[in-house]
Amino acid sequence: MATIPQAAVPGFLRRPTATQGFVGWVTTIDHKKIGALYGVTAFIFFILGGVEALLIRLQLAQPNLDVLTADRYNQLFTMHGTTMVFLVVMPMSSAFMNFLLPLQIGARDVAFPRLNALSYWVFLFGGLFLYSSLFFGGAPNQGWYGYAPLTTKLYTPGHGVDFWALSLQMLGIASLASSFNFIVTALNMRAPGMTLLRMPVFSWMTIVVSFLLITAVPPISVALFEVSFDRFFGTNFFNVAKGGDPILWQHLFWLFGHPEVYILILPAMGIVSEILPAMSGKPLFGYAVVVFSGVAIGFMGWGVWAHHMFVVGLGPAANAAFATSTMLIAVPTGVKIFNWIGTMWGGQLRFAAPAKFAIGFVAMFIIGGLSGVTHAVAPADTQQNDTYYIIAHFHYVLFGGAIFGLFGGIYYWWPKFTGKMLNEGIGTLHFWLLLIGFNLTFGPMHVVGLNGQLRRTFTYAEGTGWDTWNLVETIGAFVIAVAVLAFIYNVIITMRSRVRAPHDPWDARTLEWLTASPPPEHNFDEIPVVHARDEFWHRKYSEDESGRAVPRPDYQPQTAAVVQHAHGSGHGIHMPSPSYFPLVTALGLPIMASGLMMKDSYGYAGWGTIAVGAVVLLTGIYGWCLEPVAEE
Amino acid sequence: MGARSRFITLIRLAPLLLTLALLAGGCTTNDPYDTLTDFGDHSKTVRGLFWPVLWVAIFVFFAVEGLLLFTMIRFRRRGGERQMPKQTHGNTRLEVGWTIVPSLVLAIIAVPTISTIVDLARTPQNALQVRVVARQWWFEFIYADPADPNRAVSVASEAHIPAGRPIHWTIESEDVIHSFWVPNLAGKQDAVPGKKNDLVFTARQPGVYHGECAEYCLDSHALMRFIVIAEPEGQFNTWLQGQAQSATARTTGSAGRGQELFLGNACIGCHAIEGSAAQGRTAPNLTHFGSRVSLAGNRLENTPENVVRWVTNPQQLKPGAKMPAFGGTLSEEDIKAIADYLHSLK
Repeated sequence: MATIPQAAVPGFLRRPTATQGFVGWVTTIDHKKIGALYGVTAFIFFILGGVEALLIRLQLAQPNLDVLTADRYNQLFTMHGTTMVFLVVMPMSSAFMNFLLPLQIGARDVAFPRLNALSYWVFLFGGLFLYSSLFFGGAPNQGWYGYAPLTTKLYTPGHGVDFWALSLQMLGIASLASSFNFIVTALNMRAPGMTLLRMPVFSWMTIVVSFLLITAVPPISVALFEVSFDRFFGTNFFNVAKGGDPILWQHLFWLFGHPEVYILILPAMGIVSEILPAMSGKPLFGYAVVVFSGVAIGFMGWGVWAHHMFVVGLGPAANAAFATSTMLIAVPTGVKIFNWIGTMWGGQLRFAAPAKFAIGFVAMFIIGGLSGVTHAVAPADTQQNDTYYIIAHFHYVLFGGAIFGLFGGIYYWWPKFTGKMLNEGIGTLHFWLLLIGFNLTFGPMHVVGLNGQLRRTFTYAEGTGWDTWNLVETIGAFVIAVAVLAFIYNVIITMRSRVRAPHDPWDARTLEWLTASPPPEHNFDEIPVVHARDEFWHRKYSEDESGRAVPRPDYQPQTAAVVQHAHGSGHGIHMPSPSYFPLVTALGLPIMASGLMMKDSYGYAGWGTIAVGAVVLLTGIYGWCLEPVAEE
Repeated sequence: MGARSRFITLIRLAPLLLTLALLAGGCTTNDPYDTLTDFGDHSKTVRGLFWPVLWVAIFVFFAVEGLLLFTMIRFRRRGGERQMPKQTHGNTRLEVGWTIVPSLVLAIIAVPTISTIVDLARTPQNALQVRVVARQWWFEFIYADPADPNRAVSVASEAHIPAGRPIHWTIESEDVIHSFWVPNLAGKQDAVPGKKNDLVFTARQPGVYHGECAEYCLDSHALMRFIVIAEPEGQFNTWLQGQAQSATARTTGSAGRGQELFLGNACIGCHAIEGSAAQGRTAPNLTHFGSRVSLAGNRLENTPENVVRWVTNPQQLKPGAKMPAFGGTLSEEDIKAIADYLHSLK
């Protein structure tokens, strides 16, 4: 493509040049801006998913309430689960990966910058497509896990399930594209001297999660294709009357679904593994063990899926095997907890906001991990399955774990993202409100769950003994809401402030802190040469004979802090140009999906819409291939 | 210092409160859906397995959170430190240790877990067979007629069982996946279309035990409830013999008019009343409806007034219910007559 002379390129293929404003954002292929887009979008979905949760909690505050109808309630819990998993925790993790991976490994961008933009746009359109169901006859109501045959047209004739299945299919494409991108980036674009075992733990977790995704997305894609073919073309994958098998869905779904749990938690574990060493002034305790236990969790995550299916009737042999494998996976998880404590041990721990959230993560994740062991005990799980005890467990893992970890990451890297420091006082308030609200909401669920309250029930009878705890849970949920408002307020006042953050506010250890805050478009004026794990720390400190860190006399922060240069100036750095085509390509998908849903009611108009979508998609792909490498 | 000690106190309190709450919840109660009871042999076995594991978990919780807390306090930056911390990179012996110790604890837990899985899958010889057929949104229980084992006796939403005798439930579904669950007595077992699942348990003493569908099945999943009435063997046998008889309804007065209306309307397309023209099999069998204690999946007491409410508008009581609302097609008086007829079916 580079050989095509500029003069021969038609006008619409010229690459855009704006780096700011609306056009700048929609055409950007800068990994940092794409990271920001992921982050902001995921946060907006977090608010939506949170409002859904508040409505659910209002309906359950007391027995027999009529705040919501059964159908609305069922739509809300389906959307809450789907949103929080696919549109909040995954893309929020992706925001960190996008922003940090190239910076942490000393690269200028990811390997395929336009593919990276495509991932974001496909994710955005997938999310918007799911939410557009609200305007076309109602949201999906079959649960985020969509057990067949609930998802066949016989039981869910509306379009809710169509929106859900097609949207998840799009989100899968986005995940696959960015995973390949991250793997290629991490394996090929590390700075000189950065061996794999010198890579920061967060970058390692990015690789592990990316491999998990490229192996976990195919099973669910296949399963979703089967659901879609049943619904759109009358096949019988899940039609029992014609020999279909609903259990097939469960195997395929959990074959994705359990690795998915690690896809959600490993990035947060990576974040915590970056924060705690910086806040303790010590390297991560047992780096190799933390990395390998992450990899081990990734592999073992493949052998535990049927622990979601202990009451399906797979038989004692399968149940015993999966109970054992589930207990095994607790070992590498537990190891990480001890390594984090080992990191703090002997350090000089600063309780700044990132440290609070990171330690909160560890403290809450311990609870989620332990309750996890109690339902690895398969016979006990026959009583716990589908009760609030399970809800408590996975919220301690995914909220107490993942969300606390992600908030910690936001406080920790905010100065790097934006060049400003979030307010420490409000951060402290945010943390305590979140911790208290979280425990008020999900702590009592252990109790009511063991006392028999079932999940996915829009109401419960009087005299069950659940009233008081449910009211406490509802109050807790609103405390969480206040905590999130405190965070939003913090962001607003910070953005208005003129105080600039230093390039290394935490006395951190990894390469991203070597460059300016926020980093210039090309990240590093000169690609750093890496001599050690925690390269940046070793540029600042040496060790005395007792192993204590001693500041290097020759280190001068003012010269080390990279002066932000204009676009590549003085160094001959040429960054890839923005492009419209990732956006155009992504736009084709929701158009085709809409056509598929229209074909039954509108006939040719539906097929026509599919054709239009296909043309848009192909235009995007051809434009992508034909556009020149750079603007004039 | 003030802020820090508050931080520490709260961190310590939150898990403590949580554990206390857990313990409070773990004690046996008379709550209708409590899972940790010994009313059933199955629930007792599960409880016997769960408690020791929970105690191990609670011990580990206090040990690890305690260690975390101690580390936070002991190694906090106090200000004015003269030296930077020692750059420890790890300790192989320690790390091998904290890999092996949890592995051993889990291996110990795995042994009773596996043996219990195997034990619970056994079916004793003297078990009474009961078929459970789940549908949106009610449970059908099918017994063999004691007089003629090839004839089935069907009841809805209220299962009677002999206390002290093992029951072998064969669990099926006619539509989507449901789950059969009587938490006081046993763990749950899914009802999967196209599959027959087994569950064996014994109610150790007579009583009324509450059950629920535990697998989400759309609209009225939350209201898909039932009861299991455990009674002495003799009483159970009498009940079953009674259920095997055809209907013996009063056919005079309001009830007689109700019978005509019932047999002359759409009711018989779905409901069955043995000994009459009503032979529908997709909705609850009403042959001995008057002997039932509850209505609409244990939602309402079985009174004529509540039957009127149900027939008039079932969807108001159970969203999505498959039965049409007769409020528009039949007069209030007619519906009352039908309720009288159904109540006469003892």
